[in-house]
Amino acid sequence: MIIVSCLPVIALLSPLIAGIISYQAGKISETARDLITIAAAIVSFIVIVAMIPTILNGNTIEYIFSYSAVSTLPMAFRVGPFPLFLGLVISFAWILSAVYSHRYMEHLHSRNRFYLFMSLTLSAVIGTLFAKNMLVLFIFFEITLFTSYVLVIHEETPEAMAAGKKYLFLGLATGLVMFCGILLVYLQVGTLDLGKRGILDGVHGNILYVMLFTLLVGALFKAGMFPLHVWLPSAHPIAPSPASAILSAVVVKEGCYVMIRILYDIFGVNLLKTMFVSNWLILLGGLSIFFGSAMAIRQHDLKTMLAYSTVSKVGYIFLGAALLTPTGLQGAMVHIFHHLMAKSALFFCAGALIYKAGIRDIDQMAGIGKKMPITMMVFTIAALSMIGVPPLVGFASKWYIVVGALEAGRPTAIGFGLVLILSSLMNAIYFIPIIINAFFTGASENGEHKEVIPDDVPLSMAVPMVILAIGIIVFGVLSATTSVVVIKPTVNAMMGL
Amino acid sequence: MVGTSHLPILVVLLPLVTAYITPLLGWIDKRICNPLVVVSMTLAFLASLLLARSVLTGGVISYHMGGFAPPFGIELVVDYFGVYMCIIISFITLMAAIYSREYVAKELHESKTVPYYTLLMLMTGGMMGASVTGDLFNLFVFFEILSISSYALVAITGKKVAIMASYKYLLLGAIATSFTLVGIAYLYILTGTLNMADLSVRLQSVYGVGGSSWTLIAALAFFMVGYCIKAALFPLHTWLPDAHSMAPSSISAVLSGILIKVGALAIIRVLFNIFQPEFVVETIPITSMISWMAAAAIIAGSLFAISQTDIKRMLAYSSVAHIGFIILGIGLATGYGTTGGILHIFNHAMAKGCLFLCAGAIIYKTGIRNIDDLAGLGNKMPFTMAAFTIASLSMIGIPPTAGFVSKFYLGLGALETGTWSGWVFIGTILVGSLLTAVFYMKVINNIYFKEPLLREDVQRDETPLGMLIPILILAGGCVIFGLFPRIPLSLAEPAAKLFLGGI
Repeated sequence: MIIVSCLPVIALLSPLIAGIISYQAGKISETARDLITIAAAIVSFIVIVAMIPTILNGNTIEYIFSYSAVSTLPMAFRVGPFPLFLGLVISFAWILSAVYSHRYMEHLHSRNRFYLFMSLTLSAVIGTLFAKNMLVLFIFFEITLFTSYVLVIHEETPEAMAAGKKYLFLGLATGLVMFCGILLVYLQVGTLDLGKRGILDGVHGNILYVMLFTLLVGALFKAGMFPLHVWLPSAHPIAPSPASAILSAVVVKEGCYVMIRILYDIFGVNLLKTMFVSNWLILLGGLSIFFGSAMAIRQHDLKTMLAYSTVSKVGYIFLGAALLTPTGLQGAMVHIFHHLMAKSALFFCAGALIYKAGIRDIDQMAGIGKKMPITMMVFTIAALSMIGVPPLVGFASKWYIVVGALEAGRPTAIGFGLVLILSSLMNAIYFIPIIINAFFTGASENGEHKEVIPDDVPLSMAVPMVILAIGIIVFGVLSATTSVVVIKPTVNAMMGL
Repeated sequence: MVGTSHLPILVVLLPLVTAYITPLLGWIDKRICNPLVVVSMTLAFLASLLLARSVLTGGVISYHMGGFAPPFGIELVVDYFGVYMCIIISFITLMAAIYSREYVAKELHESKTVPYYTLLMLMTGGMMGASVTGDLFNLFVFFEILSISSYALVAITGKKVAIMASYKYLLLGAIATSFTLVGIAYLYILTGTLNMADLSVRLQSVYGVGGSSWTLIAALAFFMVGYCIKAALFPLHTWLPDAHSMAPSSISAVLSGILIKVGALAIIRVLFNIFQPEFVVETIPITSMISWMAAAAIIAGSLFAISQTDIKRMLAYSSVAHIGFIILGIGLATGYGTTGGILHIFNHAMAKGCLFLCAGAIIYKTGIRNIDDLAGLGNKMPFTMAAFTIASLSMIGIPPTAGFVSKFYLGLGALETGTWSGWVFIGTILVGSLLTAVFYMKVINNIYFKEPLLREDVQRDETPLGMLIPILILAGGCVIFGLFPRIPLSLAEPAAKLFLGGI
């Protein structure tokens, strides 16, 4: 049943309006500005929570602005299980980021602008999630590019401007290619609706491959997939750490979301199976996993390493979705959830190290675990989840993807098994030494054991990190339950089971 | 309806009569010129809106001057496209007029005030007349009125460079005028009439005849070259960068925002109202030729704009690129494409009008023309710069601004052709959009994210309110008509349908 409600619009507008208010408020009181930003994210979160009962009852929520329409495509929003699930996680991560930024941003310039664009980015991401048709999705997708661009270049240094330039222009170019794909689809079938599990009935021939390629280019760019990842390792680390967390954990997920919508809602599973593209997409995902991990090992800058790690994790999500099996998609969704939490936590930790100790380099982290125990504990938990150690949530996601690969057939499963073992090994290679170094190496080099006084981050920065760490453990332990309650219905709705 | 029956002539006469009253009243008191022009343009704008309503409800209006029936009397034909142009022209001129009050007081010598407003009204009268006339010779006359007054307006500052620019503009404009005049003569020889509707009927018999069709092709060629110069379609654009950058900014906004679009209007009238769509699309594929020229204009104009350092020259070259988008849409001769081209006339008028007014405000406040020196202006003039940014995004075609909607329609139109050239055109549109982003993002980055050389540069020093209001209205329009594109489309879509009816 379709229920008309303006809740999605409220979730979308509240950060937008709050962002503008907070910009003005910031000129008077910085605390007021931060509180408004946090409040806006909380309002979005609550509004999305309020939609849960309706969605769980099997309904969808719609809101259509019929006055605002391009051709036959109105500005319309629809919330189904998948957008709701992702919206919930994203707006929650946003609250944590906003809380974390309060102290972190203290010493940085242009704080009002930072908060304004953070709120605008949240608004645009929510718009992307709740879009009813591909054009509305694209509109918010493009807005996200511009708002997050301002976050990337926040430092305004030549390096930041160069990274921002790469991000913006590559994003514009790939966005235009995607736009071309959208036009092609619209011209062929006269609709861009995202709720029909495949709208390309009756389209045959090579044009299908052109559509798939052009549409995916834009999504893969935003997701940071190999070979369109080139902007990511320079853009994510250069932003202030709360923004890095948002970019790497959320904006990248927006790309993954769009990619899944393209595969499952524009093309549909049945059509993709007849196109025999699944293996190529899986190969692309595998390459991204392998390449991201390999590059991460070579890094000395912690944030750059985390950025490369994102490239590899996005590969998992893509691979899981490209398997075109229910369990594979389930794995992709759990991985989105896992990576959102773990990568936010890791970037928060990296930010904490910069904030307290001024450390960006991995080699300088010796003994830091004694000085900043909370930070490094959170780091350890998130890193272990990234490697895929049970019972953390990262293990659950990899498990589902493996099962999905088995469902897809033997060659795929063997190929994926190799990639999985290799990449988990590589994850371990770049995360474990940091942890050992941080906890078990003495800070002093001449053998003296000086007492190190713990001097960890302030409470408002520690709390978001700890919440994420607890989340990683709890959802890891409860993964069987959550997947039955939340993920399974979502997947069934997506696959039309 | 009786009350609206004389509206077609009213929208033309309002600016023209104001042009005659302005010197009389200005002779008594110079300060009266501005309110007079503003009131007159407001009335013209309202009259255009009323006219739009009666066209939308009652279809195309034919008005016979003095009651003499065509083809002997002069006929004004107000179709969807004509009234659409009237609304744009009166709106942009109104904005420029409001802006002029403070701008002209500072940027122009006191003695120039009266001629400035007189010429502005004459030019507007010419543009309005060209939009609604149904007679080919009338179109020529109105074109002369608007051209000659625009030559004078370009040179009105009296600076040497401005006079040089005006001279260059005048030379090319004169060539264009004589070309169109020859074209008109040829058509008159062939048919013995100059009424557009009558011409299109009488030309039916000429199409098939072998010998005289050369005359017809020659006439078409003369029209195309003449009006392509007026519309500044690449490679006939050479006068535009000088003229548009040297004119006072309020005039640049009118020139770039609407005057070159009147050239596009003339191209549309010749292609679709006088000649038949079958003739210009299939027999002589002139539409495909101008599409290729337009594609070249998009790329070349954008590349030239990237290499500019002067902000007004950059905006002028950007106009060369965007007139390419408009002509490309018209030349595609498909439902979506022509709608997109016509829609882009409106969207570009607002965005480019806003950008030139912003550039004028920057020069008014700081005297800066060089793009590299704009650092820190984001703090100094926040509202003006916010408007500049929104209008720039509309030029690039970023949603939810109006430019995105026209890009959407133009892209659909290019794909709709279904030929390989359609793929080239959509590639051109997308590459052009990306190149546009290159030079507008450079300006935006300089405004907001570059450290200013002097600290005192960042003191808040906003544009005066009288100049800021039109800037903000135009920038607001870029967003509002991006969110509600139905409003301009309600005229643009039937206009395109009417032109392409023959296909």
